[in-house]
Amino acid sequence: MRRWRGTALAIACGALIAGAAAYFALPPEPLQPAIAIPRAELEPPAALAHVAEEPATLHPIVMHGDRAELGTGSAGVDEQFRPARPAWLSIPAASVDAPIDPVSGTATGIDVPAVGRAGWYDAGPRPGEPGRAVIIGHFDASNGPGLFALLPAVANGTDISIRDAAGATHRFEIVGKAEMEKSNFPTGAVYGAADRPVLILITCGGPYTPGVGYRDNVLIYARAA
Amino acid sequence: MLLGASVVTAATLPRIRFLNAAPGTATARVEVVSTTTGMRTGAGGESAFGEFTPYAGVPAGSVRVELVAPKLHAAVPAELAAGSSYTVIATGSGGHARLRVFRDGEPAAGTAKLRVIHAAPELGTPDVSLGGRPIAQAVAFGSSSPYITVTPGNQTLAVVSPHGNRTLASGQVSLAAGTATTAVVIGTAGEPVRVVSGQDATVTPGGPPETGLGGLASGGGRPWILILAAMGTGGALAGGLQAAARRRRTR
Repeated sequence: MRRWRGTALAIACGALIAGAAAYFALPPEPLQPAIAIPRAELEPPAALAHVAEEPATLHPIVMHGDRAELGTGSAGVDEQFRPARPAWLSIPAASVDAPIDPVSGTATGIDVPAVGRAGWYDAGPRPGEPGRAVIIGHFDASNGPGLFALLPAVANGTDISIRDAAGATHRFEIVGKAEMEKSNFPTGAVYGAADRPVLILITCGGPYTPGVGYRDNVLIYARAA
Repeated sequence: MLLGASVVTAATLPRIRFLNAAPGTATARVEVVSTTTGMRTGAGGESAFGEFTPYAGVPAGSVRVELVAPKLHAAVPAELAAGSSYTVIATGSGGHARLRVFRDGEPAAGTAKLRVIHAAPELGTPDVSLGGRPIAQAVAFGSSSPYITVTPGNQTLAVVSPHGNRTLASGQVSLAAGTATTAVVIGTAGEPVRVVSGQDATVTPGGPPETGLGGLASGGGRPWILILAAMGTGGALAGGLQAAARRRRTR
């Protein structure tokens, strides 16, 4: 009896020591987001950037004949030919109905809006003008969902409305979704020129590691409807 | 150490792209030869007439840019600064070619920038308008307008005769806010005059958005299956050792 007690004690001690060592040696597993995009729905950002440029309503600026009819003002930015800055974002299918604040780039990233608001990257195109307009929003806060919590679950064809500061509404429809690790963020397929109005909504996704954050960004591409 | 040095070097290399604007030349390319090391670097691949190559990294410092095309040779010295971008344009035909090197500009946040380069020798010194507004007058062959700030959007860029009575060529250019664009007037010697454009650079943030604080994340934590497996292994090992020691003592 005493013999077996010694063996059992050795087993218990060994298990305890090995378990403690493993507990401290193995890093915690990342947490998983409550809503994630099924892998089958994901597409490469570069392909989506192209798809989002396919036919849409344009507002061309027409040349007024030859030089005799040229304007007399000097070249420069003419605000009357631009949509106003975006002010309000509505995506009923994702329960998004929120004001839009301008956000700027920083040396290491981009400013983020408050959890319940959307942020428009103000160095790039405005929604409704040719080029890729970028709007970001929180997937979650520390204690609950953010403005874009339901965004990864929306389907292609979902309507997006943006009301600008002048009261005009610019409509878009979702054409595809992508998820990329932040360490491999597709800058060239997100920011820049396009022949037509393109809207890209960005939030977080993928595994979450406390103290580090989400591994991925979810990118929703939409084209002018 | 070596890796770090090469990464730093790659990040600060000057970049060039090439536009073949020599009528009658189906394809051409340029090579950059460092005048200090003699190293020869291809830049961006072949360019069909009127097409920009992608940007490619080349050595910094004093270089000679050489045109490589059938029956057409040209070279031009250039001083390439680390971290800068350049557009190289080949003009000419009938065995006479010339390369020109233009330093590309930086984009500006929230607005569009455009410059126009005249690379169609038989056009004289035309004026250029954008969306019906004059943006450059009497542009000489081979020269570039300065970058100008323009209204973002799709606009028609027109080349009009110096006396303003004829539109010589026009083309649509896409000018997005936050980008800088180069439009080049090419053609003549049998090629129709047209406007081609290439995007020079885009304003981008320094990194991806951090738009999650973990409130919807669940599961995860410690890898308990691995920890239990380690406990089982450790216990079995300790038990085995203890039994073996006991056997030795019994003998």
